[in-house]
Amino acid sequence: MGPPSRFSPAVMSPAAAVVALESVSKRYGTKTIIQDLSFTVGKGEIVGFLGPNGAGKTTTMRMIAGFTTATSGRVTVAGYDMSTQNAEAARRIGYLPERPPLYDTLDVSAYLRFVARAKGVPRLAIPAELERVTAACRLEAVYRHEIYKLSKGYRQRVGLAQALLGTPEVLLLDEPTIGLDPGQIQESREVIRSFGEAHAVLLSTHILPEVTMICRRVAIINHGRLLAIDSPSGLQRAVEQTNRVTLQATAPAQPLREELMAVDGVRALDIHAAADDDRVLSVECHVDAREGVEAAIARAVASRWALHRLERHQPTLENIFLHYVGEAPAARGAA
Amino acid sequence: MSGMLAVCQKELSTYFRSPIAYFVVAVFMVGTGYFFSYNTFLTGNATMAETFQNMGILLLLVIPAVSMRLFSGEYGAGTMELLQTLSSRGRSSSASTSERSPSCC
Repeated sequence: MGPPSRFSPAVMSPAAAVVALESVSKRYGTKTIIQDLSFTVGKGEIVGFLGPNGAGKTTTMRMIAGFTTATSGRVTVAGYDMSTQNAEAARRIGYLPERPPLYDTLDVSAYLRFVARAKGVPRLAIPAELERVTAACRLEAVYRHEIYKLSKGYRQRVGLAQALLGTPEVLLLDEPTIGLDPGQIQESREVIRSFGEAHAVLLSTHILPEVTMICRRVAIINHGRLLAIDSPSGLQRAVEQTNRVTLQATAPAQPLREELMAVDGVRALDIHAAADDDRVLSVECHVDAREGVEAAIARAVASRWALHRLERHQPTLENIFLHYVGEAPAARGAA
Repeated sequence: MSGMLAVCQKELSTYFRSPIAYFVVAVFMVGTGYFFSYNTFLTGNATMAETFQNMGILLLLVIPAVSMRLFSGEYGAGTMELLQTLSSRGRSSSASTSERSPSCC
């Protein structure tokens, strides 16, 4: 869980923002892919980019990377306007597209050397750079292998290594952990996290826990519009409409119900016997979002009976995501 | 500029990693050899002028055969995204080539 958000697009000074989008739109013919999108990514910040398929994540990434241009609005990277000074800006961007851009016939070392040279890394600095990214992405074992022989996980890591070459100021990662096994995901996260300490990272992903783990801010988009941008905890507070409190207590059912309904802030109850012990009752309460309701419940129950467990559930990122993209969280079952 | 050299070098080394380059060179040599011997020994002209002329025509066929897959290959492998976002690219405002795949977003 990140610290509470201190930045919003409106108050963040342009100097601190390494990537800035100002009311960017993208249209193909009459079809609008991105509509009036504005947000910033600051130095030392990892921003997660969430959205369902077709929301416009990849298009946004491509506009920042300079692969496509915005129809209207302004994209700036490290202060350079992508529509006029993109060669300057491109030098400061490390980009891992959705599909790693690999040449199958080259071996890993030749490929990385090629990218380093094409990116304009000074010739003398190339061996050290290759060593750095190879170690960071754990590619030593396949360093001399041809890329077409590599597994999907290794291909993804070669793509990540390629993006890290030349120590760019901005790292754009389009679903970087797709196809990796859990151990590799952990390693990649560490790489991204350590890189994000001093650079700006924009990371698009479908894996929601990943966002909570490594991103300081999360941007949620759908149908090309920015729905929310805040820290994971800030988003959580914003959608705390109905909180759930679950508790387990040894008590008779009817008096417990009456006692709980008398507590201010409790809206609805669901009482059933605990699975493992029928003397113990499990209660699920729907309560108001404000603080202190669970404490009042605890006092009410503990003063008369034995209270074994009490837990306040908060909306998970998954619920938040569904809330913003317009699906009722309840329809998917409460998390 | 160094970026362009890097791309060029990579392309050349890729050609010689597969039999394509050798095959194309062989076809070109056989063709040129045929025109040389035809002009020199059968016609009896002690001049290279016509051989060079025919080499040019032969190259008209050979060069597209080698290069026609380059762009589609880059798009197919997804590496166009890498090349176009490298600092080596001199593209300033035109984005026509990059907008060939609008469907994925």
